[in-house]
Amino acid sequence: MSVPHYSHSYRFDNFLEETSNLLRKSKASLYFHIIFSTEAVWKDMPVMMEEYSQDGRRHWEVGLLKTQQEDFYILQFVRKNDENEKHSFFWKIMKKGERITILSFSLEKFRFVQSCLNTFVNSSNMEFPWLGSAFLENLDDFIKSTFGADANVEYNKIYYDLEPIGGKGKSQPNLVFSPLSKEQILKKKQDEHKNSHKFLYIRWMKVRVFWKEELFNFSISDKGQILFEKGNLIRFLELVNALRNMSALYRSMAEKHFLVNVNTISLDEGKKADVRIIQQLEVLKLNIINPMTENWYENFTNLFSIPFKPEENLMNFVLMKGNPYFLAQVIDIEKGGSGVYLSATENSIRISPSSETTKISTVLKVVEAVQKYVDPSITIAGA
Amino acid sequence: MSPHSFLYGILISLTSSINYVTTHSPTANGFLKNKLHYEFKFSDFEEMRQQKMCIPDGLIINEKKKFLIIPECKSAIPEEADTEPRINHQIASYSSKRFHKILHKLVDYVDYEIVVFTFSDVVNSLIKQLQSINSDANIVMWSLEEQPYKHEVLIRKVYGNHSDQDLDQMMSLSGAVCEPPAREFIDPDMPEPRIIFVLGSRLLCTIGECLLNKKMVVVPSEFRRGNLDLVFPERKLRSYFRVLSKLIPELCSFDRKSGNILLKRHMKPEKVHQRLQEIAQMTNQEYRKALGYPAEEETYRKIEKEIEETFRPKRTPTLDEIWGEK
Repeated sequence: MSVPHYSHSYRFDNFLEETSNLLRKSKASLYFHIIFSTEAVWKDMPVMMEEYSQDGRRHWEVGLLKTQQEDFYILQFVRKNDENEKHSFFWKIMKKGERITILSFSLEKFRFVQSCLNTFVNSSNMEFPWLGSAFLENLDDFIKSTFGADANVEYNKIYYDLEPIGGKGKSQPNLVFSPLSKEQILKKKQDEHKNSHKFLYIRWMKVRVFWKEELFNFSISDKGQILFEKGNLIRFLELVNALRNMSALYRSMAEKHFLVNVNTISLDEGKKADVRIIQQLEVLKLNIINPMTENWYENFTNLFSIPFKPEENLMNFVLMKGNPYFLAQVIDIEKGGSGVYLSATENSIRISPSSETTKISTVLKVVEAVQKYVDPSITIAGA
Repeated sequence: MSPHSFLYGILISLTSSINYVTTHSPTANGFLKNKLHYEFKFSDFEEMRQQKMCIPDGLIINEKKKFLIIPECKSAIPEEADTEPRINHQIASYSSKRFHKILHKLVDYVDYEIVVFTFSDVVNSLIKQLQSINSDANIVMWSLEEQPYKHEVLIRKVYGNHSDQDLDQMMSLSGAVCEPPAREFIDPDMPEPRIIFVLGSRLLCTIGECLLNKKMVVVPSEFRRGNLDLVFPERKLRSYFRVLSKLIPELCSFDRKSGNILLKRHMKPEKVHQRLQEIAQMTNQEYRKALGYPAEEETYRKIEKEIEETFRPKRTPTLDEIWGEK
């Protein structure tokens, strides 16, 4: 769908109506992305767009078009060497204090989502959510809690990685199998672990939901990206909204603070001394309730004893190894990354800030690594 | 993390606001803080350091009762029988008038006692040493009971009596419980190679953010603001930065003029990791050798002081000083 030339009089309702019609008539699919940002980054958007457009490695010039509705924008990418090629992403902005959540909609093809939207978000201070494999596995519970217990959920296709425990090397290519019940996924997971000592990490899932005589067909990724294919769009937004709240909950759980009060005291001869108190240290605790593997603690210490894991860009410094107590400093050296202290006792994994505040992306990346290599059942939601 | 730092971390867990957050409900640690209002405070104790006094492992204060606990963590006792144990000097220092003259400027207290905190396997030999010390100060010993460390550790009083009845009752009957430390806390008596390791790993933590903001410069004052658990003064931090750039040139370079550090955009993570691990395990002598300084403590301190002085900000004379000169 191209940008309407009357964009200044265009509203979110118009977009929903037009898209609903398109979805009904054709085989078009709609991409939903949830993007997290802040007021400061939003104000900086013109600079970020200019930097992106002027970057010689990029094929696109990006611009943000206003509509009649002040919280609804169109992010448009124009190919540098062909100004007739345009790709649009419709952004609904939601503000809460300093935090901004963007719901991005687009009817573009996957390759343009990747080369336009993904590159722009990743080059700026904005972030996509992370929900993880364990969330996807229990998606039926989430859908039922949103739509009601009468919703019937069917897992149609699953794309997954197999990760070797604490090992080096790249993960195997995605595999597909269909259709499956939740119990069958669990069995497949256990069998894979038993036979090959590998963990199954779900990347994408194709789902069919029957609810009140409606059929919804959509795919969802571990990063909360949705490809909507069939169903009532307006009703489906209810689920997208619930997903946005869940992603925000994950993020707020991942953001932990270490606050120290400094009291400066004047001594003799103009000297000064600081006396400090830990005002608050917040630690994210992942309780190990029903682990899939008996040796999760061993997997954990093996993974975070590897000095550098290039696939994840994680550097580990083991500070103490006991039985059962393990403490390491884990550093995410990827762009935008940071460091955390990671520890485990007999029944929990704990993530603690190493500076004033944890970077949400780093904490979620560590939890992802835990799901991939330690035990796929460990999750923030079950913490 | 050394066993000493582990004990130090437990003291902080017992006496600070630590919240373990889960989606169900947060559980709070800081047993002694919540039950009896004992709170942990820390400082660089620079004044005491300059006067060559022993430095305690933080301060635990009950502000309501104006009662101070001076903690000393002992992870092991030295094996050499002919040397006087360090604990003797420490107790003498912590009970000296000179020490309390300085301490009174830092915290408000009326009475104090010394708590020696140790592992259960060292308790008996340490009690023998404490009994041989002639000191006016009230000395109490706590022991870490649980080993190996599970999801909780138990701390009990094993020697002496606390002046605070409530504390004495709690520590002798049920003891105090807390989770083992969820992070490393920077202990004021940490050996220098270990400090360099901590600083190096903290600098690595900022590299992702620096790459994102396209600003690879780390300014000491900004670094201190983001790492408030590091208690060294800014000039000391600059001299550590200088050492770091010398020992790990792959990680950063040091600008003598500004005292800032410039992180390398394209570093080899494996190499930096290996180097930092090597530094963490260095003895003081190996560390001095790596820096190209003489191995003797005294000469090394002299050089170190000179370096530090170059980063000390020039003080503007006060009006009284100018008036006095006239």
